[in-house]
Amino acid sequence: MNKIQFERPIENFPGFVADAVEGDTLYQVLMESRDARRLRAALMEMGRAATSAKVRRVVLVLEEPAITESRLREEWQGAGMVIRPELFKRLALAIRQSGKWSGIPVSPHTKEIPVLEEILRHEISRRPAPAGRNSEAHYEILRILIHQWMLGRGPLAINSLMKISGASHPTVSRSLERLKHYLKRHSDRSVELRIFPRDEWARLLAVSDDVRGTIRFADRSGQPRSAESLLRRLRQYPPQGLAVGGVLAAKHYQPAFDLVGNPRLDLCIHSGRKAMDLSWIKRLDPGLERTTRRDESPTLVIHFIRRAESLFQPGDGVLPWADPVECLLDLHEAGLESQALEFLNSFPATQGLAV
Amino acid sequence: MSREASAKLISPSAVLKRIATAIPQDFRRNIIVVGSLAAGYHYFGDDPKLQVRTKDVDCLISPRVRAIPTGQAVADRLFAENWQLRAEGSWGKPGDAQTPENQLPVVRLHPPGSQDWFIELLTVPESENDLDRRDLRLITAKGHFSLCSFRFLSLAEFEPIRTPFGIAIARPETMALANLLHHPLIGRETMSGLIAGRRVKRANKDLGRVLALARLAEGRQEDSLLRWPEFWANALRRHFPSHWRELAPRVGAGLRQLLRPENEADLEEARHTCENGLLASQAPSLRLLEVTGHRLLQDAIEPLEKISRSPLK
Repeated sequence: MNKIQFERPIENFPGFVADAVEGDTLYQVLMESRDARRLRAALMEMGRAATSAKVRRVVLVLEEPAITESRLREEWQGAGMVIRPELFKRLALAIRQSGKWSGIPVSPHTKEIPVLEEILRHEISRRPAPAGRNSEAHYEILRILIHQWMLGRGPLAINSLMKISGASHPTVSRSLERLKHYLKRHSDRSVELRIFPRDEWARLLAVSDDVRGTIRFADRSGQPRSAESLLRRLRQYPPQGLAVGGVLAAKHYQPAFDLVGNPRLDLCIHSGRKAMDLSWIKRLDPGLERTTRRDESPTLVIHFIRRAESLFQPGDGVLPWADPVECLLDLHEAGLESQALEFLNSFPATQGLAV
Repeated sequence: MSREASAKLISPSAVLKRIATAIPQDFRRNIIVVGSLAAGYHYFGDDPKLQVRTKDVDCLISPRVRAIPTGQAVADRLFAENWQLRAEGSWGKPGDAQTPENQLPVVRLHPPGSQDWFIELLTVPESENDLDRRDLRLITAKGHFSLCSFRFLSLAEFEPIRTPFGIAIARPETMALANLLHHPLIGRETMSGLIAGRRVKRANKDLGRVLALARLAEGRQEDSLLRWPEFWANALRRHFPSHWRELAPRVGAGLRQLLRPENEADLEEARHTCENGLLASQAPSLRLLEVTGHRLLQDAIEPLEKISRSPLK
């Protein structure tokens, strides 16, 4: 197997980035596609990519497509009518369904399967980790209630809770039932926390990586950039839907917060359920690479916020701040336990009630 | 002959002091040291533990109008103090009045009692339109030599750093810029000698130096590369007033070629030269140089390209 290069731009095709390139074969990946229009668009892009002098084959990799095989073949034949024959014969579909490989016009060669597997592994790893929808919704509701409580904002109407979380009424009701020991219910169908829900919080901490789809990036150059440097660069080209969390945001909320230096930069991305384009991270620092090792100190940590409303707080006009609950989770996640407690207790509404 | 093969670790500040002391005081202000030694002095001249591995110390005589009197005075003083011509085949012998200028040897002198390093006298080009090497006849007590100039050497004249010894060193930023401009692509030309036992393309050696300079700059001060593009633009405007907008877009071409995955063998040669040169005390990995190159592109080269596309000031 040649070295697989991921996320490579293609000559003479501005704006197009191939998911992977191995030798002179280019690969694009569609995950769990249920949309024939996306498939059609991907086939047209493949035809265009095949015009590059350096590309001999272009393979569209479909992981668990929710499109029938007959529909795939129809789309394939349709593409064959509009793409020049000399280009079309260089295209192929590789399909993994329930772990088995097939293809159009032919199944991938056995020698190619390790390459395809590696490409899918990489593609899956760069997407936010999915959490169970129900537990994810519950922890969103929990975080919204804690947010309301930390900031001393009083009761929150159940309708507002549904609106902020994006969860349905039954989901919110189930969650409130689970939290009933910590809740004060009001006659106007609003609720608020009485005390800090320690047990639920501890459960959230145990699964927060999954719930928030946390991904970590470590320096691979030996000369890491500081959190401040990364933030300065981020302010120059701020991606949409992004807020600063972690120690920097904690210091924003509580300027007297006791921590010298910022060991890492925590960012929150309000992504909903979409897969996010994280290519801007390479612009932030080409020395960053994703790491899954927990014994490695990350330089950059990204968390995905999936609720309907981000709860981000306005920042300096360029980047907002993540809400204090996300900051609190970031501090725990970074192992800054005493600082997390200090931070929680620093909010006037929480004093005497948080521990 | 393997010129660099025996390059030894030398202390930048000790060598600069040695050179400055040997040069007549009135002419010290006309000398700008360029290359590894200048960079080494700039980044770790105050740390005796950190040394550079180099043999040649390039001394640029500036301004051009002072090149001949300064070159004569410096060469004659060094000859008088028993500095020895570097023996390098037929190039080790001075020419005479009949020797064509382009066949004259360059002044290369070892200090008395040491073969570890030698100085080489150069000068700056006459104008921005001097595209190639130019040789200026230098008549000394020992015979005729060439004071040669190369197109982008003039950049070293831009805001050089004065040392306590009276001579100056070129700024790392301008040395990096000159090397980048000199290699818009990785040519096949190799160094005349081996570098630590390996034959290395000249472009890889010079582009490797650029990466080493960027690495040292970032090591000294985070985000320092962000200040390079404006500095580069000013240097180009000053020394290439008619051509700077054409030159700026070429600055990154060679480096981009070096960083392409298919050119890993070239990057490895660049790494080898760093390890056996400016970064001898902190050998870099291939990955580090690759990251440094991408950081340089993002922080300095792309912004310079943007400046060159901006409306006329």
